[in-house]
Amino acid sequence: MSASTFNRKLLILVVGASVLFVGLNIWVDIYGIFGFGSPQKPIYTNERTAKYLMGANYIPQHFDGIVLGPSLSANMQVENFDVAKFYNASVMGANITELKLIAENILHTKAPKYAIICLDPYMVKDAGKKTSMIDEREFWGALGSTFLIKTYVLALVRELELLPSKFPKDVIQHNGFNDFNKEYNWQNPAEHIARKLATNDPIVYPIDTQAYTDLTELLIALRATNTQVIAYFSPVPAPLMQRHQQAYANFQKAILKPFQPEDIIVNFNAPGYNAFTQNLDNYIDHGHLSAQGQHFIVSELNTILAQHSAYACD
Amino acid sequence: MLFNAPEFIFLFLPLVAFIYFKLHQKHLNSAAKWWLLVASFFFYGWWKPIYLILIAGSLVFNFIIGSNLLRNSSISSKKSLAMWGVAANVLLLVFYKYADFLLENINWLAGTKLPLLQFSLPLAISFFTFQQIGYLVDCYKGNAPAYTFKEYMLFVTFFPQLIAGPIVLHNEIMPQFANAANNKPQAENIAKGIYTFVLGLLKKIVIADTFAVIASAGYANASELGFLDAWITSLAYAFQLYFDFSGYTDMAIGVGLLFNIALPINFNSPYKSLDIQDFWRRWHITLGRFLRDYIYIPLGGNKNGEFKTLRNLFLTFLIGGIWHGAGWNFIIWGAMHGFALVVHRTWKKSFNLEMPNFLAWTTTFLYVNFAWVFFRATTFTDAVAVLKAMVGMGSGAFATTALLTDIYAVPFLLLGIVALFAKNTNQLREAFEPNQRLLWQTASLVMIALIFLNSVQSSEFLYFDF
Repeated sequence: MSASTFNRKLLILVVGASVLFVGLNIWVDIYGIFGFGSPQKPIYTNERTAKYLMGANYIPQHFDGIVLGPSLSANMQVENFDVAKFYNASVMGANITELKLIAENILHTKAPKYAIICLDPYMVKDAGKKTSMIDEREFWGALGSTFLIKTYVLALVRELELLPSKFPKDVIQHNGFNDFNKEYNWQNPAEHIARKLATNDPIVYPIDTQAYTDLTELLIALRATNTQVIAYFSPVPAPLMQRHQQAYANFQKAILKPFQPEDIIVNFNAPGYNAFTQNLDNYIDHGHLSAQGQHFIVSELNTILAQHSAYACD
Repeated sequence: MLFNAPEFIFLFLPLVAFIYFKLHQKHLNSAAKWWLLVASFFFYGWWKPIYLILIAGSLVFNFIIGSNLLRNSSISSKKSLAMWGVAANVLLLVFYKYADFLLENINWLAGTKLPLLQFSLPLAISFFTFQQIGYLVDCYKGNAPAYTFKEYMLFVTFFPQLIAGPIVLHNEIMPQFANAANNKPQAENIAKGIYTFVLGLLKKIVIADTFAVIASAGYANASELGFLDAWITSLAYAFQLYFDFSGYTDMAIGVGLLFNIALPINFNSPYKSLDIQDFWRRWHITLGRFLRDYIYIPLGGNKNGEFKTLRNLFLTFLIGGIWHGAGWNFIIWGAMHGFALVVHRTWKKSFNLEMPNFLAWTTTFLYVNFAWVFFRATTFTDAVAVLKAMVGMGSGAFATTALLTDIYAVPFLLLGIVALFAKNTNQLREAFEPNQRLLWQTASLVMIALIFLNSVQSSEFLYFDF
């Protein structure tokens, strides 16, 4: 083969392969960016990047409500909401900066009717991206990248249940619900709480200035698109709350400042919810809720949202 | 501009090559060279345009000195002019690279509080300064023709080798530019150039960057390493440095070939070396050549007795260490290599004993690996901490690792280890023969490179710091 022929064929091969590869990725559209593929898109790996990318099109096109928060709200069963079809855009370990980036992606395309925000000191104790996983360049990566290939591989592994103990099926579902306890298997909340009490670890942290700004800006952006904001304080197990009551009260006072009267605030740590926070069956550790616990939260929020809807119609 | 940046690969390079050969096709040969010069300055200025003034000034100064050296027939004034010329280049390097190091040490020794200058190091200053020092010495010896200023600028600034070498000699590159046969694109060079470039790119973005994550994490926590993690850290850096730098060189050679310019090779499987002398014939070959021709030989080389030969060897590599960076760690690294070469020479002369290959290889590799710890560690304390951990005196867990946590990185790490002992890029390029198998192989490599290029990861080349 002559060198000229080699070069010509190389160009044709590379261009052809690129077109095919990119075309395939657009057709599969695993993040729903291009509007192709199945209307139900679970997440197989890297929740941060996936929910960020899904915010560009998949979430705003198929859902009219979102839940934002860290792991505390990630396993909220959003399919049980009645007033709207919700997507759980919560991310394990996320802070408000990262959640704001995901929300902004969604708002750029189509504003949801409702945005439920899980409030907890963890979310605002620091700011900035914790990892490089939320990056605009990942949109180009959706055309073909190592992350995309890894996602395909894990999609196969999970869907075909090749390694069910390490990569179980249906962990992060098409509506963003993250059944993370399938992977972590946290149990015995009493033991977790006792350990937290013994080490006297704080549950309240100083609010980071930038985090406070990010929260404020997020709320402004949501209101500007007529999204109803519903913020709830994630219920803290009673034994821990007893230890840190004053600090938590101070936190609540501070974090509520950027909220407006039209925002709905639900305090699941109020005395009226003592029966909930004292029942450790509602938890899987020192803060994360069990399926039972999340069911109650959703039920309460459903009632509040339904009342709000009815009031708004009157 | 980085070789692995999309704007370089898809925009700058094709545009420069296209217009270059188009101008030649229209017999506008001078314009073609000017175009290449403009492109090279643009390539350099992409990082910080203001430093174009510095490189331009350096070019003008050295060209004037070189021209005067070539015209001057008086030996004493030639010598004086050459000395001043070289001194000026060294001073420039000292000013930008070593001034703060000197000030820090003066402050430490004398208890003063002299303020540091904190100039950012101009990109490639070590490379283009050394290149021009070599040219001045050649002018002094009468070993350089009288280039035009345009030709001289092209020799120094030709963009594939401008930023991080190879350190090219004028008589290596200028005859190639003068050769009219090189004014037309040559399919074989394009094929080899693409092949070499892609191999270099993959070495950098797939292998080097994977090892870099581990090395950076290890060195960032030097005082907490245990035995296993210390070895993982040091080896990760050894591999990162090799694949990063040799990958860059491969890319430079590949790009050069696209313009029908054969740049000298810079690496020849250095980690296969069986002794330290062999290592320096395989690692950063053009630097070793420069040190030999412009420092070791002018010092007297091996012409003035054994003691002076050993002294010259040691000093040459001490200077080589200093060239790499302003810090005691680099001086220690250079001294370690100088010492090793002294020991090697003494051993060879004194004992007619050859080590079994495996023992020779292990000794050489381990010694080089130990020396890299000083090269990489941010402080002397960190270097000592890593070395202590490598001999089991670290504070971390002995036999467990906190560094090898990403299972997805393992295939690339293994690929790196295999690649170290396989044929190197030069050998593959020499054996390059366009055929169906190589076509599919190259296409696959290009596709892998494109996928990696489109993946979120940011990196710079290590030798950009020199």
